[in-house]
Amino acid sequence: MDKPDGDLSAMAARCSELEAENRAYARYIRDKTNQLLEIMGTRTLEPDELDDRALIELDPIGIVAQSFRQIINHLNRTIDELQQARAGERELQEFYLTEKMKLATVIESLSEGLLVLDEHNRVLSCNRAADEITTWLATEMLGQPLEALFPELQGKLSQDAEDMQNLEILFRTRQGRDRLLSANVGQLRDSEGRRLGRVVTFRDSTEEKRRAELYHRTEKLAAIGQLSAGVAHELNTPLGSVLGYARLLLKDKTLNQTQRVWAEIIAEQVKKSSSIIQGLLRFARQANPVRRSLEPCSLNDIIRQTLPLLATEMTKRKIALVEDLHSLPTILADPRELEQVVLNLALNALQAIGSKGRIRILTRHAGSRVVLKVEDDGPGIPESIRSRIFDPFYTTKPVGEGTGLGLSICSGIVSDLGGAIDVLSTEGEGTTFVVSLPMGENPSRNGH
Amino acid sequence: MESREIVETIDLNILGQVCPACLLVVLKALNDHEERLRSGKTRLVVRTDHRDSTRTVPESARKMGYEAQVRKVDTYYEISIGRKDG
Ligand SMILES: Nc1ncnc2c1ncn2[C@@H]1O[C@H](COP(=O)(O)OP(=O)(O)OP(=O)(O)O)[C@@H](O)[C@H]1O
Ligand SMILES: [Mg+2]
Repeated sequence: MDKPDGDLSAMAARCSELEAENRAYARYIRDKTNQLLEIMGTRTLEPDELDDRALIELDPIGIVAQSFRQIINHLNRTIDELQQARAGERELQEFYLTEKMKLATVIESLSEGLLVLDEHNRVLSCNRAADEITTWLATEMLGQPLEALFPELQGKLSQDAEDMQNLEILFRTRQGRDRLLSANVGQLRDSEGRRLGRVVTFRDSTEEKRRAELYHRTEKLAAIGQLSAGVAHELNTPLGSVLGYARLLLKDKTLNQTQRVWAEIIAEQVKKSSSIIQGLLRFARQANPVRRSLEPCSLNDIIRQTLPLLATEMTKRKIALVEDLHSLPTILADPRELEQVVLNLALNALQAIGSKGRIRILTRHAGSRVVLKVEDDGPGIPESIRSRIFDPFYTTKPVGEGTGLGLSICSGIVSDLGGAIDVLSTEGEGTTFVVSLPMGENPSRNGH
Repeated sequence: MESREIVETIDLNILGQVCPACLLVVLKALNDHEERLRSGKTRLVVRTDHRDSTRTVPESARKMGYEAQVRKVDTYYEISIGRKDG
């Protein structure tokens, strides 16, 4: 019976082999379990805590693995939530950024200057228009007290004053030009109504003001023009008959010498009156323009026809007339109006000179323009009144001698033709009026 | 937490029980009842007198994303595990 014996011992050997394997397996599981528990961050198993059998039955690796899955899922969820939160935060941030950008763009593109002031009225921020209007650089304005920039405005801000509108302040630019600014001031408050500072908006209203004044003046002139036309018209008829009867009287042979002189004075004064009336009528026509007939004119021809009217007066007063006329292209204009311009300027020169002097009349062709200069060696025009001589009714001449309409009529005619009139004068040396007119090549300017 | 309406509890009594590796047993319960616990309608209440467990069990449960509270009751501890809010 050798075989069973052999079988038995073989089985015993196989058994101990299996047991050893089993132990190794259990140890492996225990090690793995401990390793996993360690990774989970909890306590490892006590060596005597579970016997191998109970351990294997419990399926610790399965349990721990499953727990791991829960941990990982939880971590993933947390990460997702974090990411969502962060994305939300980013979205919110982007929203505020775009809103801020939009606001900044609006503020930058405002044509009005804008200053934000803190509670001590120091400049916190400003926009581009602000530095354009003030000619201060943004970097120079920031942090400055309002006083440094707009001393006048600072005075108008009383501490508790609420919003203020249309404050007019005078401002001097870096270039020393005085500008009129129109400013609004608003309070800046936080959501609880506490004062944070102020917002000042302003714009340059210099031009606006000037235009408004000009508009009023033009309106007034138009009214005066209409009135003048009416009065002039009414006066023309009676004056005509006064002149007529004066002339009749002069024909009467029975008048003695004294009576004749008186009648001559009457006739002369009537003529003077009617020339004043003619001036008023011309002015009225200009203030309320009626149709004029434009035609190609030779300025030189007009000068040659007009000046002889003054010849007698000139020789009487020992005034030399110098003509310096270059050949010119024709200009499109109303010849009677051009005649008026020449006559008015020459007459002014004549009147300015007084008893002895020289008048030079010059024409030139310059590019697309025709230039007329009327030059005298009279007393000149004081700087202080130079800006007013083109105003209607402005005159320095005694009553009855000047109506102050000559230059205003000239400037009206010239600017209607698209030209310009300027004055150069040195006190004590003389005056030059410079008229430049566009060439008449534009055929669309006719009739009306 | 009090305001939360708990519909049911799963009791896991490992008191006095010769229970080695308490942690593994609780982990198993957490795995087995994961869905119900996560829904928030169920809490797992573990009764143990194993002092160590009052540290290891809540710690692991929290790592897995649960909320855990420990309460001393007479001679034993009660660990209540449920869904975390928010
Ligand atoms: N050549 C000049 N030299 C000096 N002053 C001048 C000259 N031309 C014009 N002025 C000044 O300008 C003022 C306005 O001239 P303007 O021709 O408009 O009116 P006026 O000559 O006074 O009156 P009117 O021309 O209606 O008779 C004059 O009163 C005079 O003070
Ligand atoms: Mg004049």
